[in-house]
Amino acid sequence: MIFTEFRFIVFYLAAFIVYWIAHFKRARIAILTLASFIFYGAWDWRFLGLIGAVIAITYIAQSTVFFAKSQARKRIAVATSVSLLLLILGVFKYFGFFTDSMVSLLQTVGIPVSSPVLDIILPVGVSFYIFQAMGYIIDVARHEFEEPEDLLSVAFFISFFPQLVAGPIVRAQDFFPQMQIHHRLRDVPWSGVIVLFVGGFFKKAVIADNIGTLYVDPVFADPAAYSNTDIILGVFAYATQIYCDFSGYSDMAIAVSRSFGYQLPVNFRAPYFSTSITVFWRRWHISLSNWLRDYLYISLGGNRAGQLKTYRNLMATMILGGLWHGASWNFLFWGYIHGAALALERLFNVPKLTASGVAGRLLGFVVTFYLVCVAWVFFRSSNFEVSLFIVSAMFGGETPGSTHFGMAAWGLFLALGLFHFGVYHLKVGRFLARQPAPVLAAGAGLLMAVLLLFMPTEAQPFIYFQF
Amino acid sequence: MDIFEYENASSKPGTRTVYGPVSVALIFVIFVFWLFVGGMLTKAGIRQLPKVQFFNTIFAVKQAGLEYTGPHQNVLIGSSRVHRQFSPAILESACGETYYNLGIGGADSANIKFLLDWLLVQDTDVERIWIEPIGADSFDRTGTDRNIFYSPFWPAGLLRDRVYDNGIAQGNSPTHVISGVYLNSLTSYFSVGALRGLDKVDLTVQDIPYQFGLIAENNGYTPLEQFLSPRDQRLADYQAILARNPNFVTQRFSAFTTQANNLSAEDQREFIHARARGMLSDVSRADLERVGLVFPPPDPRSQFSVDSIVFKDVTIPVVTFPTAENEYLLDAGNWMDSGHLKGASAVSLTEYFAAVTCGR
Repeated sequence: MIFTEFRFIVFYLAAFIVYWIAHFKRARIAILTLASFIFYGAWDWRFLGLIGAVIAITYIAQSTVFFAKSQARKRIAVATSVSLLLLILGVFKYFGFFTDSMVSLLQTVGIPVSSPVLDIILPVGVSFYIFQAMGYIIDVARHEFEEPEDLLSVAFFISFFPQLVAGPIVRAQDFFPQMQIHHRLRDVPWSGVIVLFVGGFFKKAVIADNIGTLYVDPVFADPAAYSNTDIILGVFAYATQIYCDFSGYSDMAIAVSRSFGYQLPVNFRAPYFSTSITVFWRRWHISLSNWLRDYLYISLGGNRAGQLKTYRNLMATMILGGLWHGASWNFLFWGYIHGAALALERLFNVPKLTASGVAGRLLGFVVTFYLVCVAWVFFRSSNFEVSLFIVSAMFGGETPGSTHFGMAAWGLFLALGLFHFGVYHLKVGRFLARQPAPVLAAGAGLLMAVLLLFMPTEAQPFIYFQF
Repeated sequence: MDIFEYENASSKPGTRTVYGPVSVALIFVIFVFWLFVGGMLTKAGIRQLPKVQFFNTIFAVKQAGLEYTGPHQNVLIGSSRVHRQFSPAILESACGETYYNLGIGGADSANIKFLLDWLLVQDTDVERIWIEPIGADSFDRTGTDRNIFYSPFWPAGLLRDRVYDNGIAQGNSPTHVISGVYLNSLTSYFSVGALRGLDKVDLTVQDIPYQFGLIAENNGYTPLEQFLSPRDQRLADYQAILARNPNFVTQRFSAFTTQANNLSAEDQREFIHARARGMLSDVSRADLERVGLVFPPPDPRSQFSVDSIVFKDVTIPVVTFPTAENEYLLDAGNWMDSGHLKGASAVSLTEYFAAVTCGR
C-alpha cells in the first residue's frame, strides 16, 4: 500500500475518523498501532511476524536495560538485543549477498559449489524500523529516559505507519513525549498538511515516476546505446528521480503523521544546492545522517581520537551507511565515494572554502552535484561493470551509442532545476501554508485533477521501500 | 520538505486558523468537489487541444492520414484488433462507401474514448464511427478506463456498470463483485495515465515517413504480416502455444461460445451496454446516431449474439463475429499470433463485417 494508491486514501480516511472519534490517549495509540499493522500487513501478512519480533526484542531489551542491577548486565542486554536485531537484518537483507559472494569465491578457486536454494523475501522498510529500534535501545542505555515504556507504546513507536517503510527515522526522545500529549483535531495545521501532501504527491507521482520511465530506465538498461551527453542526462535524471521519489514520500509521511497530531523530523533541505559533500549530508536523508552520526560515528570515536582515526571513522560510517541500503558492491562503493569525499573535504577544509563568495559557492555547487551524480551511478546500476562504463562516459570516455534525447529534455531538466530553486528560495511553501485551508483544499482538488493525467498508468513503488 | 517549509509556516501558535471536526469535514468535501470540477474542466480542455500537442506520434500520424486520405464516410476506431483486421479497401468495394481504419496497436479504452471524442468534435463528414469499446484492455481487467474520471456520471453510474459487467462475467456473489470492482475501478481513477498510455505505442522519427506511407496507401490498415519481422517474438510465442496445445484456438473459441451461451440474450445485451456506457455517456443523441460498436475476435464478446443496443433512446448497431458464421476463426493456421488474423483471413473478417453493416 503506497501513498499514491487509492486504497491508501480509503485506509487513511478510516484510520483518521476512528482515531479522532476515540477520546482517550491510549485508545488512540492502540488504534494507530492496529492501523499500522494493517498497513504493513497489506504488503505481505508474513511481515507482521518480523515486525512483531522486532517489537518484542526492543520491549524486552529496554526493560532489561532499565532494571539491570549492574553495568555489565546492562551492556550484555544491549549487546544481545542489538546483535539480535542486526542478525534479523543480516538474514533478511544480506544472506543472499554473502552466500552468492562465497559461492563465487569458491568457484573462482576451483571448488565446485552451488548457491543454496533459499529464497528469502526482503520485507519493506526493514532497515528503517530496525535502526529506529536500535537507536531506542541505545538511548535507554545512555540514560535518556527516566522509565521504561509499556509494550503498546514501543509497538506504536516502531510501527507508526506514516514513516514505517521509508522513514524519516524517528528518535525516541522526540516521539515518546508526543504520546503523552492529548492531541486535538483543532491543533492540526491543515494548510501545511495539504501543501505538503500535494507537493509530495506531485514530486513522486508526476516528476519521479515519469522521469524514471522516460529517461532513467532506458539509459541504465542500455547505456552503450547513448552518447556521452545523453548518459549524463540519464544520470541527472536519476538524481532528480531519487530526490523527488524519496523527498516526496517524506513530505507525504510528515503530512499524514501531522494530521494525527504527530510531528516527524525534516528529512530533506534542498540537498542538491549544497556546496560540498559535507553540507550535502546535512541536507540529504537527514534522519539517517543524524542516526549514523549519533549511533555509529560517535560510537566509533568520532573526531575525538586524532585526525587519522577521524578519517577512518568517516570512511567506516559512510561505507556502513552504504551497506545499510543493501548488500551489494555497488552500495558499498557508493558509501566509499561519499566517505572519501568527506575525508578529503575535511582535510582541505572545503566546506569553509565553498561557503563564501559567489564563485566559490558556484564552483562548490557544480563539483558537489556532479560528484553526487557520479556516486548515484553506483547506487542505480545493475552491476559494477555498467557503473564503470557510465562513469567513464561521464568523464569523456568513448561510448559507441548515438541515441539522443534532444534539447527539449535538457530544457526540461533546466526548468525543473529553476523551479526547484525558485520554490526553495522564494519560500513558496511557507507562503502557501499561510493561506486558509479551504482555499488550499479547493486548489489542491483542481491541481490533482490535472496531475492525475500525468501519472504513469501503473503506480510505481517508492525507491526507498526496498531498504 | 525543502519546497514547503511547513514547520515554520503553519505550526506557529496564533498564526493560523483553527478547524474543528465540522470544518475538517468541510475541507475534505471542498477538496473532492473541486477535484470533480477540475476533472470536468480538464476534460473540456483536452477536447480543445490541437491534436499534435497532446497525441503522440502514432496517433498524430494516423490522424494526419485520416485528413490526407479523406473525407471518409466511415471510420473504425479500436486497438490492433481493428487496425490489423479491417481492410478499408474491401469495405469500400463491398459497400460503396469510403472507410478509414483508425485502429492503433495497444490503444486501450481510454485511448479509444479519446479518439472518439476528438473525431466527434472535428468538422468532418463522417457518417458512421465504429468503435471497439474494450480496446486493448485485457478481458478481466476493469482498471484502465479514463472515462471513470471524466464521465459526467462519475463515479456512481460507471461503477454500477462495472459491477454489473463483472457480475455477469464472473458469476461471483454480489458482495464480492461489488467490493472487488469498486476498489479496482477507483484504483484506476488514481492511475489514469492517459499520456503514458499514449506514449507506449510511440513511433521513432525515422519510422514516421514509412508508417505514413502505409497509412496513406491503405487508409490506415496494415495487416500484421506486413509489420512483423519473421523473427518477431510474438510469432514464436504463438508457435510455442500451439506446440503445447494444437487445439488452442478451437478450445479458446469454444470457451467463448460456452460463456456466451450461458448468458441470456438480455444479459448479453446488458453486458455490452454496460461496457459501452462509459464510452458513450457524454455523447449527444445526435452524435450517438453516428456510432456503432464492433467486437472483433479474439475478444470473448465477439461470440455474443447481439445486433444492437438502445442507449438514450438511440439504437446503436453492434457487430460480433460468431464462429458459426465465421468458421475460419477456428483454424489455427489462419492466425498470425494469438491476437490477430493473417491478412487473408482478415479479408474474410472484413467481408463478414461488410455483409452485416453495409447500409446500416
